[in-house]
Amino acid sequence: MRQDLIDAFSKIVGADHVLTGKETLLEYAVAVTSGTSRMPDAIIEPADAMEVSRVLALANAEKIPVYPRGYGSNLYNAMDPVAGGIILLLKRMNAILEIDTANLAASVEPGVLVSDLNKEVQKSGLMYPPDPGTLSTATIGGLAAQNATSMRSLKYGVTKHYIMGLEVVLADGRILNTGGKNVKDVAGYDLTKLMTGSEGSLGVFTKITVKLMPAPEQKKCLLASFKTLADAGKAVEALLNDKIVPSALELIDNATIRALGNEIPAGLSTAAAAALLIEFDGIPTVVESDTAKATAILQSHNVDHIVAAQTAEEQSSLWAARRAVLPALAKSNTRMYLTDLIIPRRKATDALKAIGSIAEKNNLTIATFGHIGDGILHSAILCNAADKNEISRASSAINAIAAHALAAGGKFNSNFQKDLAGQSEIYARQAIKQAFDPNNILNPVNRVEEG
Amino acid sequence: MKEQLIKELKAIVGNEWVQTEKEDLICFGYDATPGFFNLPDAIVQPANAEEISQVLKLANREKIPVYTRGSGTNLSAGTVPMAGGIVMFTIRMNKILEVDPVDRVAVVEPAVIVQDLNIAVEKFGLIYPPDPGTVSTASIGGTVAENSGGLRGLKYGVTKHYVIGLQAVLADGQIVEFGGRTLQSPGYDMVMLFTGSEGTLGVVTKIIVRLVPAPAHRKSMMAIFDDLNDAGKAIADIISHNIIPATLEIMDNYTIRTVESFVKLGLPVDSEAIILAEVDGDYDTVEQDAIKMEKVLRDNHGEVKVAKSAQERDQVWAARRAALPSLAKLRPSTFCEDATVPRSKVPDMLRAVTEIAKKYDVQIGTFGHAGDGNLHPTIVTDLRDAEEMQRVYKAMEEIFLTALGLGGTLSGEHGIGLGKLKYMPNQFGEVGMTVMRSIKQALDPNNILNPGKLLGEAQGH
Repeated sequence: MRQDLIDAFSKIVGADHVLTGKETLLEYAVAVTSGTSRMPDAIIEPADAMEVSRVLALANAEKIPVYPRGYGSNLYNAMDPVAGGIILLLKRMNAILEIDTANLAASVEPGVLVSDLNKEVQKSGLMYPPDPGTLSTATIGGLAAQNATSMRSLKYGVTKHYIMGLEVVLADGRILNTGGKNVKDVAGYDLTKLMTGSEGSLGVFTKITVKLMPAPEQKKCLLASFKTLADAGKAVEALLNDKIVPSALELIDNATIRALGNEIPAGLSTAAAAALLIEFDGIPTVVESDTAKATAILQSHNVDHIVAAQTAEEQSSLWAARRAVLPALAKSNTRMYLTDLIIPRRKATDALKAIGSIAEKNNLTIATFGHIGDGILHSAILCNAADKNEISRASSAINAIAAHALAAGGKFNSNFQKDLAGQSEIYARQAIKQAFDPNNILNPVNRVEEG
Repeated sequence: MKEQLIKELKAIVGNEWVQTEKEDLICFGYDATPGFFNLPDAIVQPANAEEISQVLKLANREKIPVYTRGSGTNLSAGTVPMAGGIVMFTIRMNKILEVDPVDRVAVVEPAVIVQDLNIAVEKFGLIYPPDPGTVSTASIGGTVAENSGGLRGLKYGVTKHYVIGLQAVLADGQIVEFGGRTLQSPGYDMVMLFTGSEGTLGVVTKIIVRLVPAPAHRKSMMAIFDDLNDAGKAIADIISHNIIPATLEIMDNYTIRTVESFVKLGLPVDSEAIILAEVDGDYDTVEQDAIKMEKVLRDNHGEVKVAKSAQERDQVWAARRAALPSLAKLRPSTFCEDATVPRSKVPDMLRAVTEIAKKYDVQIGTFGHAGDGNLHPTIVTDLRDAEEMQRVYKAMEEIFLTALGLGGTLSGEHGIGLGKLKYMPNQFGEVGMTVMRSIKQALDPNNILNPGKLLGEAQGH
């Protein structure tokens, strides 16, 4: 990047907050294609919306790519600076601005950690439900940009159900305010929902108003393991058909259980084909009766073993195991291709079986886990980075999984796959992108094809 | 409209599905909003998305305005054909295509009536929660276009919380699928952009909605307050006791008196406010919440009656259901507005409306969904009285600006259409208006879809 531009950015945010040292930039380098990598040209850390606005206005005038970023815990490389340019690091904007208990709303800056917000609102007996729970470094800004799901999406919905309002800096530096604290608001186009999940490609969030909920009085967890995947799938269907709504219903398959190693919870065998982690929340009598009902359903569906977590400590050790899944997978092999399948619930068992045969056919280890109650599954394909042949087999496996998901009426998302949307949908999306960011400076070209 | 174009339209949908007789056109010149009327040039009744696509291609080529219409029950003049052109009347597309009780989704065509969907899913123990007041006449397509609310918004949300997939036809005739049967879809959330876009971005031809289990139990109660402040505080206290009722409604003194004079339910005509509330869910939680809520209402000096039977429950809600029809009987014209404020500002808003009614010497009854801040200040008047209408429009303006001043929104559930257009820049600012216009421009460059609504004129080149 030209020195005069570096100087101009330094003037906006202060020289301390423009980082161009090679070691720093290398930390943010990304693989563009096998063998080549790309560094950003500068890391810029703005303090507020005004600074973001001025940075973007300049970047837009100079057509410099901008990649907004929190702590970079995104699992799909969705914010990687593949075209160089600026990483806009929002960590300094980490204030909880307001907690409004009367309106069950909170306003925060984008760099606030979701775990910090939950600690704070807990003091008022409230919660921010779509907490992914798996990542201690997830920021509200990042979760809103990705419209993240969480383990409690089955009962409480996903991030977009909780974003009530946004302050957004647009590509040319204009500041847009959308939504607010109104539970019902149908005036105009729903820019809040359009922005949520737009992966930083339509604007940079500088303030986020979220909806809060009363925290449940009690929680209880069950860990149920099965000898076959089909049994686990049938048990899930039976649970959901009985209209008891668990707050979480997670599945981990055998490959995932094995990867857990030392983190494996007591009572779970590495021989189990699959395990379900089920949580109920609400008032004590209801939690007790739902747990009893669920236990009976599991028992009539060939459950192999059930561990009930009564105390907060027992529960948190079960959740710790679930949280350990991703780190465990990431280190068990050198390269992990993570994919998202979102499938109609009734097709979930079929999908699990299909993934099993795809793994076998391509001679790969594929670990599958996720929010089975919502039909959201993550399949991690584990490869040796040095093994070109294995990587090529991984690529065929990704295509096969994607084809299965689409044939089942579902969706597939992976950064290693072309956009699978229909032509007209892509046309409409591009028209929106063009309207918001005609110079294409915000998070450009973040759909890399590999293999 | 040129005779040649009428012929082309007839070739697409069939002769019997294009109407151009004046008697027919008049019926489509207005909706449920007083004060707006204009004749379209033709009514077209397509059978499917393919026909809509062809009609839009023709309209786009000829730059003819197109107004999509279902049951025409909307309250913001959103379907009035102000610039003439074609009314796209979707009534023939009225099939429930699928109800899937396992995945808990339903797939419907746009003209399916909301209540008919609820009847169809009832046997599976499921409900489709959005229930606008016009639930027995409104089409689902219309509720998607307007993002309609209803009585259960506090706990269950509004239409957009249930729409997960759409098939729509864009202005240039492209048929596009957004979202699907799953909770999440990658890419921009076009489903949410189109929901509530008031027919300005496309014509919705298929809708996939989420269904939820019907609550096993419910309990209703009514509380009478001598002081509006106590009622306002009771609403805030219910929420701060971590109770989220399915329904939490309020009626002001004017509404109480009006309802009582028409339906004789024995309502206390001297009381300042009545709160009506219902909790639903599993038996234990409902019973526990009902006891807590009753105490909160009493602690705030409410005189509480808890419904002990289905019959008593119906009596509680009869009063609320009678509110709009009773007010509407008072005078020839009724303006039911939907200015909405953050929940904590409901008492401020109620007081302001009472003062505004006095100040402009107009009759306003206010009732509505207190729990979610969505009030319905309802002005009863006579459109033929020009002098009074002047005062009515001034009062409306002050109501809208007061709501915005309290951090509220112009519309909680009826949409912007034409009625509230003037105040949009107050809510969205110049940046917001420009951004919305650029979206409209991107998807409908010839501005043929419901032109002039939601955003105003002049977005074309």
